[in-house]
Amino acid sequence: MPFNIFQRVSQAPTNPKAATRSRNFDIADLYQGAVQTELDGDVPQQALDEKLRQAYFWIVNSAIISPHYDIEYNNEPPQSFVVGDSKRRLTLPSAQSYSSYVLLPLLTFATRRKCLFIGGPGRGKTASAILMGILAGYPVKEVRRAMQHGHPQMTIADLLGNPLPADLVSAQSMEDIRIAWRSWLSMRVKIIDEYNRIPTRTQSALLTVMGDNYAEVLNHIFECPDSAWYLTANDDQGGGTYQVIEALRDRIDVIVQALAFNPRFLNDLLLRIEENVRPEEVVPREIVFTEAEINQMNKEILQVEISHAVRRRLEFFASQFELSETAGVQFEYMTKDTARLSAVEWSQVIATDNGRDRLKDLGCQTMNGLSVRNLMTLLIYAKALAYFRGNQIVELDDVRQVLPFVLNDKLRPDLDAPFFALPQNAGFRCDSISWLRNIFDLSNDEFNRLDLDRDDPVQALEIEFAKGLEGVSESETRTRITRIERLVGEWTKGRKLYGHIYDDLLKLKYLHQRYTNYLHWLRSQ
Amino acid sequence: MTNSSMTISPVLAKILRAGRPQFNARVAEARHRYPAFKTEGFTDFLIKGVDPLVQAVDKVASDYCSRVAVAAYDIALNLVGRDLAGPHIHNQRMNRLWQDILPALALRVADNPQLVLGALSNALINIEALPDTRPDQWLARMQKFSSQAASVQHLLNIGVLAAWCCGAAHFRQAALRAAATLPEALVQDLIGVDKKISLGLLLQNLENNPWWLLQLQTAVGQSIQKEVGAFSGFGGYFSMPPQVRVNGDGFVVKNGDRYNILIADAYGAVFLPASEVEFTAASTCLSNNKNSTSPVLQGSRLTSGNHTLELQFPADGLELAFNEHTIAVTSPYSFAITLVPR
Repeated sequence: MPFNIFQRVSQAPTNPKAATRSRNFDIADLYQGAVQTELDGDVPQQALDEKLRQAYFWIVNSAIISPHYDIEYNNEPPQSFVVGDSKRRLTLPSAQSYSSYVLLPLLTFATRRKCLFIGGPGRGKTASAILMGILAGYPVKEVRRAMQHGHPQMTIADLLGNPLPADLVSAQSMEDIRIAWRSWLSMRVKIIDEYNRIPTRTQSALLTVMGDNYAEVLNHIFECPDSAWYLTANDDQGGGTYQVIEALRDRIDVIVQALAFNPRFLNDLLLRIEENVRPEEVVPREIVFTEAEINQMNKEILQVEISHAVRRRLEFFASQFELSETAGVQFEYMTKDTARLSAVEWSQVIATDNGRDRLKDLGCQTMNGLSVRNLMTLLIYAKALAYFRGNQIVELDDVRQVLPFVLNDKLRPDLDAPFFALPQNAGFRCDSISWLRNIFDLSNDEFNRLDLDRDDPVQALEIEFAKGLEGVSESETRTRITRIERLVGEWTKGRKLYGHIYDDLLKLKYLHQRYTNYLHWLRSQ
Repeated sequence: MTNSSMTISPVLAKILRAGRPQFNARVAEARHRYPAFKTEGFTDFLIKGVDPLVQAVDKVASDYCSRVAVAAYDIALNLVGRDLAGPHIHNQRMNRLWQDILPALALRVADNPQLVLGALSNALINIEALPDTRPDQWLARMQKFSSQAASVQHLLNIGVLAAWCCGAAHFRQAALRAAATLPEALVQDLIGVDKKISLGLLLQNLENNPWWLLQLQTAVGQSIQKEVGAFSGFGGYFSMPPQVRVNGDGFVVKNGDRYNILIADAYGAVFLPASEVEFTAASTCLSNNKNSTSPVLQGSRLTSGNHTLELQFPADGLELAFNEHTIAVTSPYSFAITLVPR
């Protein structure tokens, strides 16, 4: 065949950058081009980030019809239009933008994390998950067979494997019973279809595999390889046959929604029918990753840097949500988590909280704060997105773009908060992705207003402390302690308590304690 | 295909008839792949471009006809689908390549049809894509010399040497390597030098000095200067006066927020994409090159070694960048770069 319309992979760089390139013009450079020849085989091995982008563009152009470019990047002010009575904004991005429904699963593949596809039936959730299995080098049939379909009668044996019947009869001890482990456990891409139809008890077994990467049956352990997980659900709000246990939901790193099909792309669908082609069956070899390549890619992603400036903004954002002044008496316990553990009604907790500007305080929009796992996931996906875009440093926009998908279903909105009662914010009640992006934007605005990039006294103290205590004299230690106490005094004097101040005060307390201990040690010498 | 079978040669008609379902399927695929694909344009190219080639191959290597026809058919689909060939194309160079040159290379095409047809088509596209090269001249030289190729590799070597001679200056090194594998007389004719200059000496001189040929053809005492770039409004490259720095054998040019590598020699000058990083890194090369033999500007007068040249620019703001062989002069009053061999 001269060409196959479904197996074309971009030959040109998918994200061209003005990088330093080789200037050794070879004879092959004259003869390579539109027409493929054997001289094309001399091209150097491509970088893995380029391969990942090629995989993305193949999926967008040939596999997933009707992509939505909802991850928007701009390198200059974009064209923007106000649409409809609701005055929503349609933006035409000025830089390469992406479809979250393809990009996030691909980043999950590259980082070997866990992705949940949600959306109505027939929107390609399962097909997308299968594509990811094929990208990992598995044959289509193997991926399909290894896919676990959730159903109400699913047992732990169905999920993990069976003890061999002969051994059950003849074994004298548990060690003698051999287990026929299910083949999907050893795969590098694991797919659980309709996970919210799995019975609760089996969900617990799944949690062990997802969380701790091993399976256990009759005291026998199966260690699973690092793998990317794809789960699908028609409805993530408990609309399945069984309520998904919270711990299992919490293990999911990103949630992507399958958006509606645009009928303007019906011709592409027709072509697929006429050619009798299923995308998962024609994945080009060029975009299939070996195990070594996935390992290498994962290493390269972790090497991507997050600058101090970006990290500070993320810290500031994360600080907004945990404080609940009325939930505790001791300073450390004034958190939403304390309120949650106490089982006191949420409405009662917030009813007594009347000191702050509940419209302005971002913390008032949520019922919980961010967990360590959420923050780690956010950092990893931000790195992965920067890597995917061919960058070695995470930009603030990378964090802004992945944040809603990571925190979706993790940072829960308090829909009774005054913010959601405003008419212009009504859309945020349903659209959690936009709401999460909006609170990150608001947090950044506040960060700018406070001028924390340039004037951050806690950071100055942190830097001083990070230099180490070795050689710090007693008088210098006292000076530092006094400086911390003075700062705490200033911040607590007649000021309202907001989330970021609460965390700064806790950090100051930590520094104070470290210096105090050091001072005691110095005196004992 | 059925309507056109009346006008094509029996040999091609027979091949097409034998593989009719497959050939038709390929056209159907091309229609899906290339929205602008025109069947009539393809048919025309099949008759005028592919058929003469198949007939030529039939005369010298009839066993290879089918193989050549299949490869030519696929490449023709590709070229017509991309609007690079066919009756409606404004410039008819691709058609000329297929009609006038490839049939004369029937034996070489039969050796490796996919490579020869693909590579020469790509070469023409690549040369056409460089604004200051001379693709018509390349076609003329290929028509004149390519039939002397004793193998496919020879043919490709002739192609790259011709491309360099037609202004693709960045292929200078590759062309010199290719020339070393070709017969002496062929290289002398293709480059256009006296037969008294041996191949070894010729290649050595060309290797040592990119301006050697131009200096050879210029009367003693006559100054050589070459203007490249020019205002984009007049079909040039630059929207503002460029800045130039040295980068190895070439120059890095900054024009607003765009950067290019400039590679120039006696045959021509090409601008290729570059990055800001390269421009920034190149700045130090300029000062490293300064020594006692450095060119000197006095007003509008440029002195380099024993040569003095009166530049056609006001003295104000003139800047020099130079490497071992070339001085690049820029002026805030000009959109062009003046290149002066040293």
